[in-house]
This record gives sequence, structure tokens and C-alpha cells, in this order.
Amino acid sequence: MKIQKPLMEMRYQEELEALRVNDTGSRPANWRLSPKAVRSFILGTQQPLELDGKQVPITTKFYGDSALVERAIVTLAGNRGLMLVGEPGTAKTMLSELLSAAICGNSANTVQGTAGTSEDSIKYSWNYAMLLAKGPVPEALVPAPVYIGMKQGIITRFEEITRCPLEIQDSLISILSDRVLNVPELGEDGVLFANEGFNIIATANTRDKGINEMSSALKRRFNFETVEPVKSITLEGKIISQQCENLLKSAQIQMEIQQDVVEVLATTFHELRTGASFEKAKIQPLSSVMSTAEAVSVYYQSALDAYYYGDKTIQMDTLTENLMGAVMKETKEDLPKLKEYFNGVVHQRAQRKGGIWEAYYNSRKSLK
Amino acid sequence: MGSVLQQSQITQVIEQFEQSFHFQNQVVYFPIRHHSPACAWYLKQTIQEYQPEIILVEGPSDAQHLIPYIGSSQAQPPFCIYCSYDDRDKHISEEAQRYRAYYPFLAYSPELIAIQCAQQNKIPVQLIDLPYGGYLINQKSEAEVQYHYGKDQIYEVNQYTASLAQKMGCRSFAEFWEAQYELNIGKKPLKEFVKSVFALAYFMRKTTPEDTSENWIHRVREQYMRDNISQAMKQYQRILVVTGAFHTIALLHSLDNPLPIKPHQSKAAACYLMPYSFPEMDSRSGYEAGVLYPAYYQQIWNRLLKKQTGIYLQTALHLIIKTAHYARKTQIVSIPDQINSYQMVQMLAQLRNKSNPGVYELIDGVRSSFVKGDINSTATFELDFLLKLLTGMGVGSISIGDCIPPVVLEFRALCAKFRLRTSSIERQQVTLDIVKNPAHYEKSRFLHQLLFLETGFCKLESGPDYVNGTDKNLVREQWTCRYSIQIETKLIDLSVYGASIVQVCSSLIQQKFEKLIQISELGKLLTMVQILGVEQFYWDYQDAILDAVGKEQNFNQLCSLVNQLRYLVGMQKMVHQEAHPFILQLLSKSFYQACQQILLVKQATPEEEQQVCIDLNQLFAFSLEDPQLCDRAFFQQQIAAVLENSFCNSRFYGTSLAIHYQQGCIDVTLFSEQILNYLQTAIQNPEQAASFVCGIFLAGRDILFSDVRVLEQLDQVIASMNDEEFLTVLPNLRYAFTSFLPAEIKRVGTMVAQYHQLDENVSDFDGAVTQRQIEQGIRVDSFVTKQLKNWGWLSDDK
Repeated sequence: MKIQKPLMEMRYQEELEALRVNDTGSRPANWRLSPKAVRSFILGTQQPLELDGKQVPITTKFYGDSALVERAIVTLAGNRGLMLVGEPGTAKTMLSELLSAAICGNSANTVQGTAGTSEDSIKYSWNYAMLLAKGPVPEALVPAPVYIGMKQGIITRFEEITRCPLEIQDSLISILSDRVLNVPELGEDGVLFANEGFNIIATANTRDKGINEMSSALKRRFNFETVEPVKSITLEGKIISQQCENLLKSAQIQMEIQQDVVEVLATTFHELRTGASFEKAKIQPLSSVMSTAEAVSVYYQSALDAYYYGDKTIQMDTLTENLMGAVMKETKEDLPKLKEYFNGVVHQRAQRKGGIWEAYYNSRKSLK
Repeated sequence: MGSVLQQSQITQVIEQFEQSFHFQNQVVYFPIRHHSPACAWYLKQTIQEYQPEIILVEGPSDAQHLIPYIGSSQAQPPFCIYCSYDDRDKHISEEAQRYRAYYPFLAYSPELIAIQCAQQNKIPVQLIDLPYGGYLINQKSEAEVQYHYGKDQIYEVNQYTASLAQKMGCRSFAEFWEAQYELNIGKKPLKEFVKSVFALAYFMRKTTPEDTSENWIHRVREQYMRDNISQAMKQYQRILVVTGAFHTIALLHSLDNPLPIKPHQSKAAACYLMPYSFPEMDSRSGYEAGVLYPAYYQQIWNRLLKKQTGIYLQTALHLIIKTAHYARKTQIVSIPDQINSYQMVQMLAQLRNKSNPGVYELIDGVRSSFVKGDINSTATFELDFLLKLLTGMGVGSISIGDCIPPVVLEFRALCAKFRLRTSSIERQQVTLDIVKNPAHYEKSRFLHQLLFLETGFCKLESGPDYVNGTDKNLVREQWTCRYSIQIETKLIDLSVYGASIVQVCSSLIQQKFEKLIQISELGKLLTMVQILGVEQFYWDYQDAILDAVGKEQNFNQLCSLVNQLRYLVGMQKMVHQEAHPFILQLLSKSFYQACQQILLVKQATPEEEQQVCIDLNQLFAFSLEDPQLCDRAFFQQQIAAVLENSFCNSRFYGTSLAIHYQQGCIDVTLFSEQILNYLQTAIQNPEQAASFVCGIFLAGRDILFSDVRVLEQLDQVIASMNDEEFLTVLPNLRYAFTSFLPAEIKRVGTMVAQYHQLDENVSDFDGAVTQRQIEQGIRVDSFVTKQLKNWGWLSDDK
């Protein structure tokens, strides 16, 4: 049975191995790759690398700000955690997975922050049956991701840290400062020192509970990096194409990516996000997050619809319906704004360019 | 573009380089990037080793006379050569514009280093580029009004440089240049460095199309420089040529067919040396040939001159500490943050394969360590401060000499006197109490002069606007002042009008006077004269002014002038305790002239009547205010003449009658009798009656309270109207009562209630209304106004 979403280290195993074999740079303690090799893994290289006689291309996995990736890598090699913040759908989680996979080969050591996250889910908990049977012994301890990260000297990922209660977040302060975790139940043996290579990558979504609530003491232990939406329509189109290609491949769906549909979708998302059309006309900004991830989802859903219910060609009606779903996720009040976008910008473009834009405009009847 | 470099191409580059940079040659070409510390450093070395007899520098050749001042030790960069060209003869375009160009220097500009070294070694240095006028005349594309020398954007901003930067993992060509050239100062041998600059420029040039209109002027310039080099070769054996690297490639080869260079009008051009500022040098401010973060490289250069080691790390450390000190004013920035920032700077340089951490690593390090939150929504004081430090806020200075127009010198002297900063471009708030403080009054005049000249130095944020008569209740003036190089540029442009700021203002005031169309503007102009302190204008032009007033026959214009002059007199008395004698003379004459027109306006049209009556009333008010200035008797005489012949505009008649009463020429009984008679005769003409009433109430509304019969007669007039007639006169009737105070309105209401034997409470209006009532009132008003407009009974502007 195939895994639905393979980990990054599984998906790019060959690339990571090729990088490791060809890596001549110096590595921080317990890192699998040097910082330069990590950079190459994430941003791609121009030339393929040789592995066992085979040329392995190192693909670009993160598009956008390469300086951000560099700062993130350098931060993780230092003594501070890395906090990736930004709007939803800007690839914070993906970047955090890529960094973890490249640095320590393990992107699964993750805490998912929620309102109900407790210290047990971050640090450790107990196997209560064993605890009762044998008392507080090391075997009875059930390590949580931070414990694992400290013990093994690997990266611990903390998703949506700001959704956790403040006091839970603040439990990381002493860990990040002193790099030690106390397990009082184990007595004298209950001190875990972090091994070299341990660090935390946290992500925070600025749309929901913002990062303002984080304590200053905790903020000081992190370097903050803002992951911004892609600014270039061409680049956004490229991301949509690539991501959808991978998703379709994983789902074993034989379908070509329709670049004209990608262009329409990328343009739509870009314009609705920025509030201005390509022709510099003002567009009412939406409350919904028009992220690239959302655009990928819209295309993918439309492709699935075309594959299973259609003739393997995406219809603009379907695309528009899925777009409407994405837009109305947050509030219904965005629907009139979307209609206005179609009646204004899309209409003009349809008149000027015709073709797929005309079909797109005609699909507006799906907006109900 | 992406193809592999062929061996033949490499050979060609090397050959050409050897041809250009060989110390045994008569001419050695040193290719530079403008404002590059690395190029400046290696240029110095070249001059030491090559020992040229003359140095030829890319710069406007008609600024040659400024060389001694440029190279002077008193000149502190940044400063610039300011070139202007006045195209009044329309050789360039039909708009006859005035063009400006700047040729800036930083302490590490290779051109400046060349000039300084030449002066130190006592060898001649010559600017060999096309003069600015020649540049404008020979352009094929439309000439820009403002130009920066060294603007080689077509070579730097193209697909080649973009892909070069991208391949090297840099965000921009500027970062690429820093990484490859600036961070390695002193590490490469001289020849290697120059070869690398040459090779870069070679390919940048190769990838730029030669036959575009934009490129044309560069080729003309190169032709001109080539000619100058040829001339120098006849006289000197060791010639060093310092030009932009893109031009070096072209200068090596003569053209088979030399380009024709059109001559320009040298008299229309002028060159001056002026201070420049760091922010203006920064290419982020729009100076396309500028350098990013000029103050940062200034620090690097200073350390380089002191032969310090680890200059880039030291500079980064210094700036991190300075930024942290500033940031602590508003938030917590700890030593660990600074340590982390410093570590990041070094590690980023290593990750990016840079030999030293440059400005980009510094910004990244501070950004990561100091900014705690989403950079788009959190405060970034520290980062903004760092960027300011990197750009710089200072202004250069130059030695005083013949190259500076006196008006600029005066500006600087007065700024020093009034403690207005010109050493940086930071904003300065100034508050002046011109009534109480004579020194403030003088300062205010200076600022008003600069405001009038549109220099951009100052802005009046709040305070009385004497010219337009607004905010007269304010006694303090709040100004914001900010120095920039454009101010001195503007003053230089204006120096044709005079040797001092006052003279320039006076000249421009004279021009405005000569172009005056309406006499009502004269009052504002004379007020402006007062504010600017150019009162000599009054005497110089007194005959012309009096003559203009004497010829004016427009009543409204004259009344407007009278009002403005009244205000001016009041202002002069407030500040100087007395009014200017000429203004008093003019006021008297204007009043008399206005009175002369009274009989001519008695037939005012319905469109004019309102303003005419207001003006007449104001004339009357003035005659009461200052009887010595006004020929009151003449005024009375004119009013009486109007009333003798009732065949005139009814509103005007009403106003005149009321004034006549107010002047004491008739008593209240006669006054009310005349009103009653008029209303009775006008009962068949409601419009006339309403208009008349407007006129009466404008100047004599108290009659309504003195004699109740007036109200009764008015009531009868209204009662006699049908609906349509009533709606016709309603606007005028409404307007008539706008002269009344709220208490008076209430009193009238009570009188009306009593007259109609109505319950007083019906008219009991205490002034308090609910929001709902107001909204209702607005809606009704709006509806009625719309209907009246639809029916054509109200003009659209009411």
C-alpha cells in the first residue's frame, strides 16, 4: 500500500543521498549535510550530481526568497530556534519539513499545536500501566517530540505554536535557553541534556491567533522569518504546475498540466490577493486567504473532477466552482466581490484576449 | 545568453584588455564602476605605479573650471557638479525648458580620487566628456529634464546582469558586484582586478544593442571623449584615462565613420559646484547611477584609508551595536541579540561563499535577530534605523569661491543665523510667534521667501494665511524645514533674477504684477510683498499701481481690493504698529474709485446683485471704521443718488436704503415708511419684494424689531402670493433671514406667532433637536433643493 503523503526525506531520498555523497563542506555537529548542501537541496542546483554513476538533478523545492532560506539555515546552525511566520498557505510547513529532512533526515518529529496541546505532548508522558507496575522508570517514559529531538540531536518541528496556550509555549523557554529537560520523576537520572544538532523550527499563522500573544522571553529565543506569498505570477504558476504534477503523480493519475488553466488560476489568485489587476484596476480585497497552496488545491480538485467525471480536460466551470469554494471558506461576503471581479476584470480580459479567458468569464454562472 | 564562452571570445577579451592596460603604452585606460571603493582603491595604486603626465576623467568638459574646487581639501563629499541648460531658444524642444544634470562625487568615487591624486602630484587633470548642453542637443530620444551623469542603466540593468547575479546566487547585480569586487579589496593583484572589471564590462556591453536611440548618445559621448584623448596624445606621453568601464571598451577603437556631433549653445549652459547629500546619492532614492547604501561604503572606505584589518566585520559590528542602542529606546534588544546578529552576519557570508560579510549579510543578520514578528505587521524601528545608517543622513560641503552664486551663499548664511539645519536632511520643526517676537518675524519672512520661491525647503503646517485671509485667528506659525540639494539647485536657477533672496523675490513679484489680469489679485500681491519683506516694491511701482486702480471700473474687483487692503493695513499695524503710507494712500484711492462705480452697478443683474450688495455693505462698514481714509461724504452722496432714482435693482435699492438709514440720513420712521411703501407697491411683484427685503435685512435688519408694521406688511406680501409665486421667492426670503442671529430669529418667530395669534409654544424652539429631526430636515432640504433645480428655479451651484 502506497503512503498518501511521503515524508520529504522519503520523497527526495535520492537527492539527499547525492548531496551527502558530494558534500565537501563542513557540517555543524550532527547535521547530515553542510549548510551549503542544505541550501542546494532546498533551492536546487543548476547541475545534477553524480550518485552511483547516475546523474541526479537537485530540483528547486522552495520558490521565492532564497535569502530567507539562507537565514533559516544559518539560524538553525546557531543557538536560536527558527520561527517561520506568515499568512496561511505560504509554504511555511513545507519549508520546515525540507529543512528538517535535509539537516537531520527526519521531518516527522513534530508537535502539532492546538488549543488542547499540553506539556505531555511536547516533552514526555508516561505509560501509566508500566508506571503503576514498575514505578517511574525510564522504560515507562513515553518521549514526545521535544524529548526525542534533544536526545537524538535532531530538529523538532512545532506547527502552529501560537495556537497553544501561552503557558505551554513558555515551557520551551528553559529548553531553548539551557538546553536541558528535567524529568523529576526519574530522580538523579532525570536530566536530559540536549545533544548537539537539536533545535526547534516553529511555525505560526498570522491570520488566526497572531504571534503577538507570544511572550517576549520566548520570542527572544527565536529568530523570526516571515514567509511571504509569491509576488510573481509566473513563479506562482510554476509552483502550481509543479505541485499539481507531483500530486497527480502520487495519485497515479495520468494527466498533463494545462498551462493555460494554470496561468488563469495564478493570475486570479495573485490579483485577488494583491487587490489590483494586471491592468492596475483596483479590486476589492477578499477576507479569504488567497494563498498559493489554495490555488494548488483548486487546480488539483478540478483535475480530479476532470479525470474521474470528465474527459481529462479541466473545464472552466469546474475550476470556477472550486474557486468559489476556496473563496467562501472564510465568509460568504466574499462572493459578491468575486462576482465583481468576474464582471469587471475578467470580462475586460475576455473581450481583449478571448480564448480561455472568455470561457472563464462565461463560467461565472457557477458563482451562486 | 546561456551558451558556453568560446575560447576565441576569451582570447579577444584578454587581447583587448592588454591593449588597454599596459604601463608601457602611451595611453592606459582604467575602467571603473562609478562610486566603487574598490575601483577607487586600485586606481590610486595605478596612479602611483604608472605615474601619468595627465589624467583624463569622464566628466562634463565645461565644468573644467571647477577642478581646483573639486580637488580642494576643503571640499567634503558628497558634493556634485550641477549643470543647467536654459533652452529658451527652443533648440531642444518646443517647451523651452530648463534642464538640469548632476554629477555627484563621494569620497570613494574613482573620479574624485583621480582629481585629488592629480592635484597632489601636480599633474593636469581634464574632464573629457560631452558638455551637458551637447548631451541634450545630440540626443535622439526625448531629453529628460533632470539627468544624472554616469547613468549607465542600459548596461547594468539587463538580462545579462540579471542572469549573472542569479547564477552567482545573488539577489541583484549590486550584490553581485559587492561580492565579487568590493569584498576582496586588496586581495587581488592590480592587473587581475582591472582585468576582471574590464571583462565584466566587455560582456555587459556586448549584450546591449548598439543601435538604439538610447545608446546613440553614449556613442556620441564616446566619440567626443575619443577626440579629447587624441588631442592629449599629441602633447603627453603617459596618459591615464578614467571612464566608466562600458565606455572603456568603446574608447579603444576609433570608428571608421566618426559620428557627427552637433554644437550646442554654451551661453545657455552653466556649471556650479554644490553640496550633495547621502540620501540623494542612494540609488533607492531614484538616483539611477547612485550606489546602494552610500554611508556604509563610506565607513568601509574610511577604514580602508586607515589600513585597518577586518574592515567589513568591524563595520558590521559597529553598525549592529549602534542599531541596538537606538532600538533600546523603544524595545528590548539584548546583548545576545547582538551576538546572534553578528554570528549570523559571518555565517551568512560563509554560506554565500563570500570572502567577507557585506552589507546584505549585515541587513539579513539584523533582520533575523532583532525583528520579533511578522515583518509586514510588526514595528521594524531597528531595521529602518539601520537602513538609515547605511544610507546616511549627512550633507557634504564645498569651499566657498567664485563657483557659488551669492544667493546660495546668502541662503546658507541666513540658515546659520536662524539656526536652520543644512548639515543633514532631517526634518526640523519651527514654531514662530511673529507678533511678540521680532526675531521670529524676521525668520518668518525668510521662510516665506523660500516658500514663495518654491525651493521646497519649508512648509507652513499651520498658521495664518495672510494672502488668502484664512486662519487669521492663529498667531503662531508652525513650519517644517528640511534641507535637500534641490533647494540650492533651485536657488541657482533663480539667481538670474538677483544677487540676494530679497532681490529674487522682488523680481518675481514684479513679473506677477506685470501679468496681473484682475485688480482683485493686486491686494493679495501687495500682501505677499508685506510677508516677503520686499516693501521697496511699493515705492518702485506706486505710479503703476495707482494708475491701474484708477483705471479699474469693476465694482466687485475694487471692493475686493479694498477688503484685502483693509486686512493688510490691520496686519501691518499688528506687526509694525503702523501701516505703510503707500498702502493707506492706495486704500483711500480704491475706496473712492469703488464709490464712483456705485451708480453704475445699481442695475445689477439677479446673478450679480447678491455680491454687489455684500460689497456695498462692506464699503459702508469700512467707511465707519476709518473715516479718515474714506471719503465718507462722497459715499453718502452716491447712496443718496441711488435712492433718488428708484429705478434700480430692488435688492440694491433695499441695501442702499438701509445704509442711508444707518448713516443717519433718515430716521426710523421715514425708513419704515419707505419700506412699507415699497412693499405695498411691490405686492403684485413678489419677486421684487423678496429681493428688496433681502437688501434691507443685509444692512438694516433691526428695522424689523423697531417697527412691527414692516413685519406685518411683509406678511401681507407673502399672503398675497400663490403657491407658485411663493416657491419662486422662497430662496430669496430664506436668504434674507440668514443675516439674523439665532436669538433674533427666535424673536422674529415670537413676533410672527403673536401677530397670527398662535400659541407661542408653536414657535418655541429652544435650539435642541434630535438627530432624527436633523436627518429629516436634511432629507426635506435635499428634496426641495432638487425639485427647485429640476424646475430651473435654483442654479446648480446653490
